[in-house]
Amino acid sequence: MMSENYSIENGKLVYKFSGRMDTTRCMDAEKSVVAALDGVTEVVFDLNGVDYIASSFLRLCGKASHKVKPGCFSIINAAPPVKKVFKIAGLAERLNLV
Amino acid sequence: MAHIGTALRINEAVTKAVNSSAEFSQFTQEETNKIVEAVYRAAFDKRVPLAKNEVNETKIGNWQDKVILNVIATQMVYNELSEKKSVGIVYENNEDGIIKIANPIGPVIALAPVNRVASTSVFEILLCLKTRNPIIIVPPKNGIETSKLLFKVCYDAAIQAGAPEDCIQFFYDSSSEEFEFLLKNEKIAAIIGGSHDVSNKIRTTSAAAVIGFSICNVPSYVEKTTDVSFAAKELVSSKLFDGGTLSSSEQAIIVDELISKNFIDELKKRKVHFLSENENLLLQQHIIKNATSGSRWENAVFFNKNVCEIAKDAGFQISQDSTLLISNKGAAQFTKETYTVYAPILSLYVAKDFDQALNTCLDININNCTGHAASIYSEDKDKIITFSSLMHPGRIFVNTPTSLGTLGGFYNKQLTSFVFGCGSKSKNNGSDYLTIDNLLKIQTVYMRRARYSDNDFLHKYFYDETVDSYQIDKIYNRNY
Repeated sequence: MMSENYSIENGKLVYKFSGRMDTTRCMDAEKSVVAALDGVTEVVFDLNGVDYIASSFLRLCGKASHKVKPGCFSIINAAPPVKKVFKIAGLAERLNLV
Repeated sequence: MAHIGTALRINEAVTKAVNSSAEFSQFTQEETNKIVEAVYRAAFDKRVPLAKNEVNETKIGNWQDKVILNVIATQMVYNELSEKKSVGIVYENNEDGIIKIANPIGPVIALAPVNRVASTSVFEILLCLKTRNPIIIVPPKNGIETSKLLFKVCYDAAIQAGAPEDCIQFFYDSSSEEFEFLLKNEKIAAIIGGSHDVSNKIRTTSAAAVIGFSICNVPSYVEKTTDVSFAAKELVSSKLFDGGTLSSSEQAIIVDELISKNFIDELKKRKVHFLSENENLLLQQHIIKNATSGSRWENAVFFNKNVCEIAKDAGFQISQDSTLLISNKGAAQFTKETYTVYAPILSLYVAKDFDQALNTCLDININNCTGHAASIYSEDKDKIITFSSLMHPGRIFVNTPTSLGTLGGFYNKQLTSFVFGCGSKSKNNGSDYLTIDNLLKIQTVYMRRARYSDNDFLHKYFYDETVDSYQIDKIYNRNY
């Protein structure tokens, strides 16, 4: 079952994703993510439980990272196979994958 | 320094390919196979419109032979690929403790020659999809409409089968600057394909591994032990395939004097027209006049024309049922600009003996350009080996028409391929056919399998400088 939810505290958005983030799922999630980004100063994408990401998810990460100042975007809890996708795309450092 | 617009266009295409590559790396063998099958079926179903569209656009060859090429590039290639492993563990040997794991290499740039736009492109697409590598195809300028049709067919089928976005891209209308910039991009893992006009640029500027670029000149030696009727039949049919426009088709025949009369009679039975001295001169002038302006591929004066039309354009008449033109004055080797003529024209040389035949083949094969094929018709294995050892190209065919023989699968057990490695002289990464092995990063896992005597034997002797290699051998191999 795929789902995502988020919390905002003191301007910090923590957005949780899970399951298979394929193209269709990313398209559905994008609207919700963009709305949640409004007015926040820090963004964390929590990928605990995500087992697949499409290239459109990489684009979504890039888009979200541009909404905040450099260094204020990060990705946490990526499983090794998902981390490898960011590495192959050359985005692990730029998106502050921790 | 590239213009900003150029850099943006290239970066956009390459970034899409890199992201697609990242996504593709997660696919299983089953998911990959499903995509490959979908693309194969879609392209196969469009084999006729693709062929007709291509001939109409490029004016090269005939649509019926292009259909054959499309069938080879889809059905034959798919049949060979379908059962192959290309994801995860592809080899395991428990006794030796070896496990091999296949991973994709990354984005691939592919070129298609203007004489085989659809077939070469679809072959490259199937191989890249099978190996989970995104592909950016740079089509020839006069094959863009065919490429657009092919892109729609293949990309729609791939996406429908679950492939990552941008796994197939076509880079249309690339300027010279863009093309060079693309070749130099460090995120590109390999450059594959054959396109004669750009082969030199690719060899000198590419940042990635290059497979399949060379210019060609294919000598075919008809040795005295061969069946002359068989050799004549095969050579004529090969040269006539797709109007003689395949780069792998024979350029010159070298025949032993002992059998030359019979061989020429056999050629004449097949309506081959032998040029007179005057006709040869007229044809020579015609070729030079039309080949010296720009690229040889722009030399469309021969494309899609039968020999009667070519002769008429050159200023002489021949019988209407003529099939081929043969020159004994080296019609295919006039000048550096015209050493390879892609038309139903062959040169014929008569050699007094084996040595003279070899020397003539060497002149054709190496002096002008090294090519990717040579052939010999013979029943004498020693001579076949001698000939093969002396010729330069990566593949030598025996008793085989090179037009289709070069593609593999028809006349030999080689896997079908439309991209041919041409060796170090052409700055190619190898001289073999392009297969999925070239597009996979194979990681080898070595399980510990310790040799029995290493621990208790070697060190004390190694440290003793009075022990020489013979003594080491003796001690190491003793059986008590």
